[in-house]
Amino acid sequence: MMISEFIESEDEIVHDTSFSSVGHLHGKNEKRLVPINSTQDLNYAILSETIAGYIIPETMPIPNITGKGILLSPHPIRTALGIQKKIIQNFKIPNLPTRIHPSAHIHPSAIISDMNIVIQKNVEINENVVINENSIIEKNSIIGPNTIIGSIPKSCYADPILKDFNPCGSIRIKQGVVIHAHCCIEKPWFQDTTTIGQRCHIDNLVTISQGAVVDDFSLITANSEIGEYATIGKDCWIGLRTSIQPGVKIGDSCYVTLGSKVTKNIGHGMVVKDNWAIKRERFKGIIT
Amino acid sequence: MNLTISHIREIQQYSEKPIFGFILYALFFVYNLYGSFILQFHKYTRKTKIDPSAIIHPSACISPWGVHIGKDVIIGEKTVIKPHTTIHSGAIIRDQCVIGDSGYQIYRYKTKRLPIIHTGGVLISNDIHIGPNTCIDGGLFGKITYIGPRSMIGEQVHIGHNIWIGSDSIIEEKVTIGGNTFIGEKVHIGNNSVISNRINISSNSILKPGTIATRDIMDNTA
Repeated sequence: MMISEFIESEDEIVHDTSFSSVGHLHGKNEKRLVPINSTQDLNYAILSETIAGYIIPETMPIPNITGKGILLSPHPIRTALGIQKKIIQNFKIPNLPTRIHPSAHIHPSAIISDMNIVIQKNVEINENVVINENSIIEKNSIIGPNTIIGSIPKSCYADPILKDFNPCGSIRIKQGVVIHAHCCIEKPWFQDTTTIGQRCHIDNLVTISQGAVVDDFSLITANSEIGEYATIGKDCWIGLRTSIQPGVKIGDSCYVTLGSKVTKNIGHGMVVKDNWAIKRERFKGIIT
Repeated sequence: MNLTISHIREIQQYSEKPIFGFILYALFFVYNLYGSFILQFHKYTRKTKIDPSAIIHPSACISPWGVHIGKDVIIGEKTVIKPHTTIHSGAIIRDQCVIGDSGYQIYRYKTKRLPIIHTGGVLISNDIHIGPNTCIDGGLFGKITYIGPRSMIGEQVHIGHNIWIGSDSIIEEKVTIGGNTFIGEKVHIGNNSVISNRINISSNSILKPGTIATRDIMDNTA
């Protein structure tokens, strides 16, 4: 697909390229178009190789990049979602009714949407749970009271302009997951999935933002916040009220202690402490 | 027996050994069976008692067994009250609270994750104000989480299992308190602060907003 096939009258092409999908800045799909808001994001986007083109606001100066598509528009996110809407209409993905297994135990005050939901056997859903479209909940998992699954992401994209669009990503909760009260799991704007691996345990008041991936057997404790498109490895332990910034990758069997704020990537088997999160292995003996 | 952090680290070292760890896993599995039997027994013996002077919003979900609600209690909309909770007279509970849900105690053995059943409950004394969106967990091993009289709790607060909060203390918004901590009387905890599990915070102490408490705090400190 070329960019020039989907262009509207307001937009202006600087370089034309072929692309396969529309995605987020921190996403993983190859050859994707990315909407960009600030110069900080553009400096990050130039480094990654999987991006095929940028959508840039009109007020920003045009960068000197060869071999990648650049598109100018007044509202970059709105044009990106508009392109995605046209792609979905071309493929014609059918809507299926919800399938709920008869052995699933669902409280009568729970609100479940009637399209594109799969709930497998022995799932327990508690009071006042809201489950939105495009979500799969696998067997033996428990969802606590007052949680919302598939909420519209807040993020920097919260605009009154985006009222016409729906987030068209999906959510997958694998088998044996236990989610406690007041959690919030967001649905991505673009065609990605937020996944929670098998036998994870998630405590109260946790928010998992759009596109985040939590791998198998890891434990997340209360009031912590996981940013957009962040990935957490297997067998991790994440402490009370940690916040993980968007796009950060955490390796297998890490320990992130309470109150810490993670801004950079972390390797396998590390222990991260305090508000100024340092790799402790490197500074052994200097800092206790 | 008062468990300290050093005791628990010793137990964690044992749990990584293959034979001893599996024995502990089996013990907790047996305890879970025992706990589920107790819960089934309480289902038929303990019924809820709600005082007629209490004001309860019609969308609130209250468990049909094991709940006691006293005089003049106000309960907001979409609050969920789970079994084994007692609320004394004059308490106010705002919207969308979750009280008495099972806490976060998990035994890890290799790739197995075994959540342990909470048979304890929650005791909320008289004249307490609890803000919206707070979560208070039930007690582990038959203990209770206790919140003393005349204390205030803000919104989006997480209170773990087996916690003791003394009288006249104030807890502001977005505070998270880990399990098994002891908080004395007339304590003031600022918003966005974190308190680790298994520590003591003595009475009359003040925590400024955004503190991360990982050690014991002595009397009358600010």
